[in-house]
Amino acid sequence: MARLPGSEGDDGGGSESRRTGGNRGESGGRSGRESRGGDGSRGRDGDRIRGRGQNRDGSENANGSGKRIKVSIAEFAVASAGTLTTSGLGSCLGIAVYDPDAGLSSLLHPMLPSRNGDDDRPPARFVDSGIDAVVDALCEAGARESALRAKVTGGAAVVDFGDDDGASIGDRNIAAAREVFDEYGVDLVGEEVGGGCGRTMRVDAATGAVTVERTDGVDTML
Amino acid sequence: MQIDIDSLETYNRLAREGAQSAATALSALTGIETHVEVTNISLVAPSELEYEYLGGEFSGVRIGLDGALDGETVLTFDSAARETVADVLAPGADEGMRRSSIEEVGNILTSGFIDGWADHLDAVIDISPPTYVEGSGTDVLPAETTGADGQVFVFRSRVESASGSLDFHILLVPERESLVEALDPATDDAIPFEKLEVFNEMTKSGAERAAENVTTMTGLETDVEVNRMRFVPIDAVPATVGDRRYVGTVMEYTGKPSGYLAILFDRPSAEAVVDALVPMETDGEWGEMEQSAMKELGNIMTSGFIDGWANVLESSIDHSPPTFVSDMGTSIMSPIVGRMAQTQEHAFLLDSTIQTDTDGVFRCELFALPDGAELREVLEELLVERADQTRVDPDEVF
Repeated sequence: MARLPGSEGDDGGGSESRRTGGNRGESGGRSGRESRGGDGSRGRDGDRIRGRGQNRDGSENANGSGKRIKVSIAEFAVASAGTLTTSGLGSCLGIAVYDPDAGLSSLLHPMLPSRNGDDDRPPARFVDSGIDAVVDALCEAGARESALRAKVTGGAAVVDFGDDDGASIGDRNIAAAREVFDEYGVDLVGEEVGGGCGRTMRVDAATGAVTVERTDGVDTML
Repeated sequence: MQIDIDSLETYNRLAREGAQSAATALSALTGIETHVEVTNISLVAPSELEYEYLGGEFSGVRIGLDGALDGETVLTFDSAARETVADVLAPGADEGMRRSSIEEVGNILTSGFIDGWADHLDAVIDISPPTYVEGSGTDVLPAETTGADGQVFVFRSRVESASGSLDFHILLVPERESLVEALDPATDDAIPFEKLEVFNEMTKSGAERAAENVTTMTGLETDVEVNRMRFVPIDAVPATVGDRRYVGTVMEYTGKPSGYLAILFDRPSAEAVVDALVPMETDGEWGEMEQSAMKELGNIMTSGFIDGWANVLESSIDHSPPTFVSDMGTSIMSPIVGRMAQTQEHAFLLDSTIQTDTDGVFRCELFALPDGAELREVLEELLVERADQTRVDPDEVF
């Protein structure tokens, strides 16, 4: 621990420098942050759960009512209030899963279609394991799986690589999302996917209403 | 002096966790959600560090580190964050009190940041009393380390709030000897620090050639202003490039190493370049003719850039025809990173900025992403051949 001159914890000894560290035992909480696989790296507070990929800290403790929650690549967040937002969706997907009855929504930003069973890789980076993690987190927060609905955007070919193993990463991501939701029996009630433009997605946490802004200036409500 | 790449991954994680604990502490103080947007390790010439702090007024604290890790840490709030913090902690107070509140918060956050490093090293790090810093560029830079010879590793985290009202940066610049000792390479496949430095210099030469080619083609005077090698978790590469809108080209290159190169202009620069290339009046739209001009420029810049590598590495590197792109930086990078993430967890992102040195008329960024394993192989092979080299000169080493 660090000792701060002039603040709580200072011993008042008037030393010019502070000193930090030394004892791993005092920082037991840190090792827990390194958990991998599943959605273990997840923290929660009053109205929000954040799940992230490998090596990312999920133990948030902001005490706001979740006005705007930003989600980066390979992350997801669950909230009951405020707006979940993610930007720079190219070939990645923005996936909203929500329970309108419970007033709970999630936003997931995966980059690739399938984790292929490699549990060492961060779940939220992939469409399949990311949706698994999100559904678990929603249910843990009080949603009913049978009430869940989904909306998907992104999956564009912003960079045209020509033939990319038969289909672009974006197309494969979209196909994977449809397949996984079909397996879950979750209705995919809105899609704004494909094309060649980047997108920004906003999810109203209480209702699951989605706004998609494309970089060509076209906005869509889902 | 050896650098173990696996250790870099560990230290990148430490920097991220440190920034996260600072972000969490700040959120608890202010009630505003913050988010660690990017954490990376840059290898950069000290003189180029000031580019971290251009384009705004910053305020925060600078502290010196001594013990298990020597060096400096600077935590800076941008001007909106400064107002937010001061309004929360010292509402209605005079300027002196507002400044104290920044100092106090900076002090608390940097302590949290350094704690993780000390815990990991299982050793003591002494922290000097904070020095208040304010301004831009060199005013807020780590003072002593920027005078160092050679390139320095900089651990950098950018923390943002969704509203943009509470953004801050943390830089940690360890002294080289101290960092190398801390990194403590335990494996045989460590890479000499000098090799990375030389590769970085090579990239700068490539960027200079690319810049010369721009000048030749367009008549616009150009210069390479920033050049750095960044070690970034693969998922964070798009956020490192950022959400700004760019126009440019993307190429895939094959050979050793293989990888991707994105040449991205901000929009006014892209328009200026195309105006210089296309003799007739264009209507500002990116039609076929404008796209074709941009691709031609991308082609010749890539040749300059890649030839620099291939000549020194004595390998053959080919590149695909350029693909035109016009979108957010993050959206452009996501399919590239999607391809790379199938085989690697971290990436070396080589980033050069070309601009006119007089005013801000022209600005272009080159982002090269070599395949991680192949880059390592290239560097390792050179290590075997030249293991006895101690003085480093690109011409001698390679």
